[in-house]
Amino acid sequence: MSSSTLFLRKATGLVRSWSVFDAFVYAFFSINLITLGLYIFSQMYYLEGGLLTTAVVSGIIILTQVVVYAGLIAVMPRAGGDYVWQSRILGGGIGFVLAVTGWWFILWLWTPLYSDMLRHEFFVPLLGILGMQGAADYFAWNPNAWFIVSVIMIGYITVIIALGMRSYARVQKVCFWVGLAGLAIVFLFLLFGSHDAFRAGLDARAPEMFGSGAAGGSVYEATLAAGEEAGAVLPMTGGSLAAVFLAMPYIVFFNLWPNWGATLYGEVKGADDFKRNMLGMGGALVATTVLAVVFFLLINKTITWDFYTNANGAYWNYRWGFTDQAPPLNFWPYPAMLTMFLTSSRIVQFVVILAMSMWFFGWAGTIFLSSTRVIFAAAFDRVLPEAVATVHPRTRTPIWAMVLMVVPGLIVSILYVWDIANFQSLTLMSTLVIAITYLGSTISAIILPYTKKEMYEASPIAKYKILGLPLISVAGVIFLAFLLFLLYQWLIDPNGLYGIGLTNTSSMVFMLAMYGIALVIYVFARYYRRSRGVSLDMLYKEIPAE
Amino acid sequence: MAALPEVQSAVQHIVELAAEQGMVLRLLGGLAVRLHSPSANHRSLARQYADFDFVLADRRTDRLAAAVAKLGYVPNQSFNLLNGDRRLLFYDERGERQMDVFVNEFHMCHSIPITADRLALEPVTVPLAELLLTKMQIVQLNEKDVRDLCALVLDHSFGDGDDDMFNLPYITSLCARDWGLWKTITINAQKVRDFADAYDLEGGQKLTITERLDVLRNTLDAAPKSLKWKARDRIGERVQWYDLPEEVQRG
Repeated sequence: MSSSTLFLRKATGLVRSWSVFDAFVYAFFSINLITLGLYIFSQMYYLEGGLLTTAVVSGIIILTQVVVYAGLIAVMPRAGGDYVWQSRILGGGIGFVLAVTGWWFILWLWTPLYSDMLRHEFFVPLLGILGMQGAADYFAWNPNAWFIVSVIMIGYITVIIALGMRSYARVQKVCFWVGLAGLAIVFLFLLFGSHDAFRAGLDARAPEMFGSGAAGGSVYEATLAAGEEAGAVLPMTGGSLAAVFLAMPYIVFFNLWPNWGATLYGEVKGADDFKRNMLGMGGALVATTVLAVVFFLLINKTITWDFYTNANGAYWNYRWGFTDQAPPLNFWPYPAMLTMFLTSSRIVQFVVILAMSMWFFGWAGTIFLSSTRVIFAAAFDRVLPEAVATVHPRTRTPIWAMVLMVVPGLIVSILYVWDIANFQSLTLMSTLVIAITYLGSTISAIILPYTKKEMYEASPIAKYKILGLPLISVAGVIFLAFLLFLLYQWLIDPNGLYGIGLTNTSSMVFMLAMYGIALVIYVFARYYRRSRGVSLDMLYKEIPAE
Repeated sequence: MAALPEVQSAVQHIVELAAEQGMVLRLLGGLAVRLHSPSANHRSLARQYADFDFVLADRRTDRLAAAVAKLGYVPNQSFNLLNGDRRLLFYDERGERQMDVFVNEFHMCHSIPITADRLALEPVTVPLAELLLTKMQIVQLNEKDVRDLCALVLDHSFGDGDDDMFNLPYITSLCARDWGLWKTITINAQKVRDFADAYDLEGGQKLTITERLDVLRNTLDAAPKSLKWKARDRIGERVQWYDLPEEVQRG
């Protein structure tokens, strides 16, 4: 007999759809520096905490969130993530209400936000580069165009979700590498370009490609003046500790999502391996933060931080209706486009902006993909009708789940795009509601070692302790404190910085409506199932099968 | 546990029902080996057959679900929803038997192409070449796998076609494209040789297994390889060349 060995494999296993690298890319795109990051940084022009400092400090704090979610996934790697954990640890009602609001309903609000980024990072710059100034202007400012972009975007997302997890991962991977290549080129332009060249390029090319509100003068000078008038003060570094923390309720719009794949981990290889989960989500957070720091430094070197902040201030000051004076730069100050003013080659500009748009196309599916798993999990538990957990037999599109996200998403898009009932003031509400969902999962994580002792002890995370306390609980307490701070700032808003607090009626009505709908669905399901002899309470005592 | 004729009849019935719906469904796994290899009944190689493993060369999985429902098989709803583009699970009414269906592909430690054309070569099971490959691609071979492989190789030679033999040119073409598959198959060929020695087989039977596996090994080694294959060969075992299927808690 040789040294060959045999194994005790019990049954035909399953090769799960996603590798750890796929999960990393999903997390990397979920805290998307180019889409979410640049979009929200531009709105922070009036804050006083250094952006680089805020990104780094918040990133460090959010690592505790990664520990919490990597731990929860390792203990219960199930499709549905937050919903499954909360419903099994905190109870079905809390789990359902918090999960469907944070993973489903609030995504309706993200629809116009995603499409706003798409038009500014894809349609507007590419049309401008192609010499179609009128079309670029239409997409940059007209609400009809914005809505058209929303519809196009939803079509694209529906198709890539219908491709299935493995094909989605392939699309995502291609976008990841092409997007990184695009960013590398932008970095090289910024590294080797000079400020004088940028300024000359901007003044010469911006009016020709996009039109200008500078009335024949220097776009550069006019932008600085408009930004100062708008009160643009955001520094790159520095600011008091208080100012840095006050910038965090804004910046988390970008970096609070390394766990966005949490609901999908039932489909990731080796999801019960805590270290792998840490590597996937934590690696994405660290890599994105490092890229952000490099980007900030390079922007400062060639574009200058002063110009970048003033351009953002001039743009949002007009768009938010604080002034009637159109910004001299007639488009959203997309740093990749600004960088491309360093070259006169339209081909290079086009290729680089197209490559950079892969940051959007590789990421866009995140708006609904994670949510489908929460809807499925709730349907498996029979809180939602079984029909929502079905797919089209040929295309495998989760038709009803998509309908439940897309139709309300389009309705909210109409409200947002045409700013009906002050909906455009609700941007940060998109983050607040999800943070409340995370609050539920964080509390679940803190008490997990004590309330589900047997399950915890049998899990791979049981060996990780700090001062004798479970790591997941310690990390959970830190992250809980951070979430409570964010919620206090958003809701009470003592400094009047975020605009979604108790004083914003639209904000409160929208939020209460979402929680109200979720509660009504749960209560109805509970009584309906009971009338048919099914106890949801009994169901929630069991961990769902994979 | 049902008797073999009863199981065989059940499998035949499932394949026929699928055919009535215009679908090509074929059996693989241990039971398929048993149907092809009388030696699987040898005292040293006999084993239990707990589950049915099938492969379906069709995207219309809803039709298959409807067909097997007539036989009392109920789907694992959540598993099929999340994995149904490539795998389906069903259980019989009494919960004694599980039916595992690979859809349009066989991907475990390695991928083995599944096409309707090749499936049509056999009436009930996958062709012998695919049957051998689906067993030999397993990185963590267990006792049952080795017994199955011994039985298969003992009863069938390698040749140029599919008629009661392993289609060697087909197997070679796959391994010449896929270094990982070649690697695992050559490792397993050696493993089966080693373990065949330990079984209570006659000397001539052991020799047959050894000689046939040598034919396989020598042919695979001699075949011209693609550039991609050669590049991967230079990296060798430093990078993992296979996937490891995970156990699934199936409720």
